[in-house]
Amino acid sequence: MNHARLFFRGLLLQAGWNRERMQALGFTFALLPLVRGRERAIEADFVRRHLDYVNTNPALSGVLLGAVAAAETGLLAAGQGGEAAREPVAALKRRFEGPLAALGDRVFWGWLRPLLGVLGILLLFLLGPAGTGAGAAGRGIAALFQPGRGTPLADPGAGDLGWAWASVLAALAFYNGPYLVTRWRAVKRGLELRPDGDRGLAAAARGFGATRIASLCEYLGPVLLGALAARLALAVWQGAAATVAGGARGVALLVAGCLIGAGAARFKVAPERVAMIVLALLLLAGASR
Amino acid sequence: MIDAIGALTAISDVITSFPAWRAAGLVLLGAVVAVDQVSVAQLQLAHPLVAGTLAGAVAGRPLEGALAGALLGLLLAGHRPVGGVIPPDAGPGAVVAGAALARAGAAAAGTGAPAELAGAPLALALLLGLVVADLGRWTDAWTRQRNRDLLVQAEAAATPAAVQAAVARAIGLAALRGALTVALLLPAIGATGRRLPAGGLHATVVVALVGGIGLAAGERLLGTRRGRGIVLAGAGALAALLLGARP
Repeated sequence: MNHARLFFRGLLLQAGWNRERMQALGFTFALLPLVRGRERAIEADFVRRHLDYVNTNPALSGVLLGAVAAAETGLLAAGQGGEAAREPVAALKRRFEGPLAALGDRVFWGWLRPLLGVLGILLLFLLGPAGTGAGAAGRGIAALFQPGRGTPLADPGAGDLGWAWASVLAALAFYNGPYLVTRWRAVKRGLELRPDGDRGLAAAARGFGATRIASLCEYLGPVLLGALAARLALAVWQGAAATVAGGARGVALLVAGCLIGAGAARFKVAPERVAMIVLALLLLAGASR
Repeated sequence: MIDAIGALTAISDVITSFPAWRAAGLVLLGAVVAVDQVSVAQLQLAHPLVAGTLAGAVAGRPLEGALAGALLGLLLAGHRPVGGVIPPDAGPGAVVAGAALARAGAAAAGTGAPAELAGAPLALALLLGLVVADLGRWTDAWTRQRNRDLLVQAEAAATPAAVQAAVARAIGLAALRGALTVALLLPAIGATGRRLPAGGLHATVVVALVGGIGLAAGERLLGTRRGRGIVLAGAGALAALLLGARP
């Protein structure tokens, strides 16, 4: 089956997600070109076989889709569709779906998705050039922590809006770059895989770099959160007058935040937990002023 | 035809206090993010930061939308769609929160109002977002049950055309759910812009309260039926307090 076609159809993997058979509907939909135009009995058997339970991480699902597509192609060519194909294909699904879900959930849901938000906040509100870019938004956040100062609300300029859109697009690219490349390469790996057990899966995971992304994120996440905490603290303490880095003291605070974040990475601190604790502490600090 | 458009615009103005095309844009955005969230591709258009910014842009103030979305994203970051878990409905929640804060910003702009005014609408927008995200779990669970029915129908027919039709219907159902969620909240979005409480409430205390609710929601409370009731009752009371505080 064509790699690009399987990739695009695989994007609808979760379209019919339900608690009973999870991704079965989308999985079957992705594989339909394999049997379209064949005898009615073969079509019916194929559809019934694949509408069985299947669940894995969408980003790495391509490995499973590709491997099953390759196996089905071979079985159909050898005239071994129907009941004869049920057990080998089901075994293939059982072997791959669990490990792929564990790896993919950790990398994409556990790290990249929360980091999209953290990176977006950093770029959007805290690292924009003062006076232009995110300056107005930064001042707005600072004002939240300084009630009673009566700073008039200012309309954002074209620079502010440009910076805002660039920040959101950069955060989206940060996630979707690795996500789409991994998803594309996973399909390719799956089509090339031979069902030779866990060694094949491990090779596939190494091949499209999912494990490298996980290792990188384990450090990148806490470092970004450290920078976010430092910059928010600066906004609280220096208020509306805060510049981008807040001068030498601000740079020192930013570096300290990054280093503390890197230190936290050694203790495997969950990024969302750190983010929420930082946010709550700063809000309370602001409220007590 | 022109009369019909005029009538629709008038109705929209009464209900939402903003133009019909902005209301229609928000409803369409609700459909798009609900589809992206689960059904198609998961490109993170439904991430609260992205959905909030887009909603803010449609409502006329992207930066306010981004602020609401970014904070909602942090508050909901602990929820992951792994295994059979149905996480909070963050996409439509962020659309509502982002649009609400954007309308509040649009109402305050040019009035020379103090920036601290941003605190109470932000709190209200986040509350709306959290409540929509939590209640969205129930409607999400309902659509997924319908997906199961569609699968059973496709299995009975056992044809490629039946599978294709079931997938199309499931995507349509997700889009309809997102669109209806936002459409039902349009009056609340409009109200946030109309009834800004000026002072009276210490803005950052309110934001801190919302932060606390978010922490509880993200960590434990929303995991239990009783806890969800307590959080929703508290959020409703606070929202009523905020909406009732007239300038």
